[in-house]
Amino acid sequence: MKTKKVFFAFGLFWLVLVGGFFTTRVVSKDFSFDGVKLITDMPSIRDSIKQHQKDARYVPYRVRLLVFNNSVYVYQILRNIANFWNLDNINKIMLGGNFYPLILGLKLLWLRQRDWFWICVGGLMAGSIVVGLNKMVDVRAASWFMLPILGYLIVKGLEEVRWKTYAILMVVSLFFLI
Amino acid sequence: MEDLCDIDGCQFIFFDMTKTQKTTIFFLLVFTILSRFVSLNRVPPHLSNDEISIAYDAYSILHTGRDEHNNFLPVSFQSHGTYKAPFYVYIASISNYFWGNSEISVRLPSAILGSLTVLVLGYLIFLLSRNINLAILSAGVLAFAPWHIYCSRMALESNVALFLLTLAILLFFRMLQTKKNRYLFFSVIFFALSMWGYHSEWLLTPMIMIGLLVFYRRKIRLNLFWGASVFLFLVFIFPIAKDAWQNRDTTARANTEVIINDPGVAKIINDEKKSLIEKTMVVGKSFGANYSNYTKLGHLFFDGLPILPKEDAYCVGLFLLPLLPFFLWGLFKIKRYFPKDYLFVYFWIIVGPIVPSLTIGGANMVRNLVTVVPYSLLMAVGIYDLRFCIKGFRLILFCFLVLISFFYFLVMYYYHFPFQMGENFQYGYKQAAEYIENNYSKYDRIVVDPRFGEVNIYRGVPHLYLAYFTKLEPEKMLERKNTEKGLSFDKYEIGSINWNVEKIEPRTLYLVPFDNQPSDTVGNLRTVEEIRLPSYKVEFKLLESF
Repeated sequence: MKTKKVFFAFGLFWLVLVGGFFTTRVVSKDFSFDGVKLITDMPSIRDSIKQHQKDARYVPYRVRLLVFNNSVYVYQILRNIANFWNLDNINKIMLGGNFYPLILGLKLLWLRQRDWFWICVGGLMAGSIVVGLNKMVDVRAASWFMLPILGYLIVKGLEEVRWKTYAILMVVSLFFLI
Repeated sequence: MEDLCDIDGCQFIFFDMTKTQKTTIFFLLVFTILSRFVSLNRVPPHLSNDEISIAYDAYSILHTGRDEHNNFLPVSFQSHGTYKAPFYVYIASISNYFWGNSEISVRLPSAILGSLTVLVLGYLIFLLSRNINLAILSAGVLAFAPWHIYCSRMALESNVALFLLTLAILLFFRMLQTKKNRYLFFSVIFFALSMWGYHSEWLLTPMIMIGLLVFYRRKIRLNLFWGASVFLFLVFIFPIAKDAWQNRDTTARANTEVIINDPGVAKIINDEKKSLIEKTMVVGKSFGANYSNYTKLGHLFFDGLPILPKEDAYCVGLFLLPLLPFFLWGLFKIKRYFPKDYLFVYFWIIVGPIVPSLTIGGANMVRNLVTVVPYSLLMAVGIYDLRFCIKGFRLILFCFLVLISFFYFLVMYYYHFPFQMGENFQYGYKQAAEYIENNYSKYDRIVVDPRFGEVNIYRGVPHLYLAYFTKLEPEKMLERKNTEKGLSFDKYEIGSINWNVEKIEPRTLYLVPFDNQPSDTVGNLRTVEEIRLPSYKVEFKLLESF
């Protein structure tokens, strides 16, 4: 049973990851790879690294190379992910009001089915990695393969939702979406 | 510990603390003061556009009672058409009296009140949670927040307003706990003063007050003192309300900064074919997008602090990055530590970005500064709640990451920020003023081209910098004339210089940007000084005729 879940988790992770690259057109239908769409092709990042290596005269040059180097791409990926998961995008992807049952769903999984919690989080992380690696993403295209996971979590969370609060949040979300 | 809050005065609380807590508070205070005061004249690298306006108005008010535009003791300072709130200018005039015309004198009120905000927050959290460790932690998160350090080191009205508002809320809770009416009076006064402090508070303060009244309605017994307090509040805000109403069409800041003036939104609002619902939807959507920008994690933890250009990969967030998970955790744990007050804390978190979201110009951390307090509280709650998970190696790792990210912020702030952003602060005018002050008698005319930057893209306010740093008598500025060429006062002529038509007269000094240098054909001029940015790039040249 455990092995099946591990396989499923890996399968889901790869599906969301590769699917995300397809929907964001980093990988096209003929399986050609378009690296220009990735942050590794951003001149501004390369320029920043060079600029800081040049400017940081308070430390010897060798130390500058240790501090200001390609590791900044990790920071950039995290920055992209953090900027992607904002209220506006959450509203576009699943309606802001659904964020409430989604959190409850995550909480329920954490308490009752820890394995499934990690599987879902892994899937969302795969989608976020796609977002983080892309220079610019179309919100809906990037989240396409995450939708089943989000939907599952929302349905799970609906068990514990306070319907009045949920209804109010949905109305507010709709107002900002239309 | 339970009954501490029922005892009036904070003296008792201090004596009841452990030695470790006292030591922590001492070091926190030292750190807060150091981080807000060290090199205050050097970083930020120069007085900004808004700071010089406050500085000059403070100087002018102190000596003449009038602002730059000859208004007598105004309640709204016209500035560069931005109509600044008055509180900062008046307190800066006091520091100007003691410290003269310098960066320190204008930034000092912000640094002092910013440091005090840390204390006020600590005490507020103690009152609400009765947990001294959580209070120290909250104050610590605020003390270490790059957002608050940055704002406390600049002459920003919003920072002063934040102090006033936090103090007003603190006094309100003191009133609730001690039932002493004097706290209510002081609370109301500080609420009103916060509205004198910054424009965002015009809306935010009433919202916070209404929130307090609603959430604590069961604890409030309305009596004569409440009536008197409301009256006092109205008396205090009457001058600014009157001024805003009288000048609603021409000068009120609300008219220039609100989202309905955004070109895209304005186009639809002014379209008579569009229905009211459509117009509301457009405004709502614009507001929603702004609100989202103010609350997104990328802005808060990765790139919100404007110390490097936005496209720089090494941008810094408003808070230290390792605190991000605790921010999210704290969001769900507030109720545990504030069982009676969690609704108000959530309310503060939600309403904080509302007013800035109603304005144009993208996410502006200065306008949204009021949320630094509840956000710090969230992170403190997150850390405190997970304290049992952060032990041994994890504790070492956590401290290491926090210290590394804070050290990284310091390096970026103290070195890279002046280096890269000098031009944004109109760097060079103070240095030019120093030359002019030393050689003032040598010249009959001082001609200044107010443009600067690549291809002269920006237009600065050199008249304020030069008048402020050369300590020109404010009366001379009050007699200034607006001519076809530009502004003229004393020996100064401020206006774009066209070297093809410029008549070079003897005993004239020119202050020109590097992108408007005279060609070789323009004779009788020699360079007397080059002014360089902290990045060593030449920004201005001083030329004299011979």
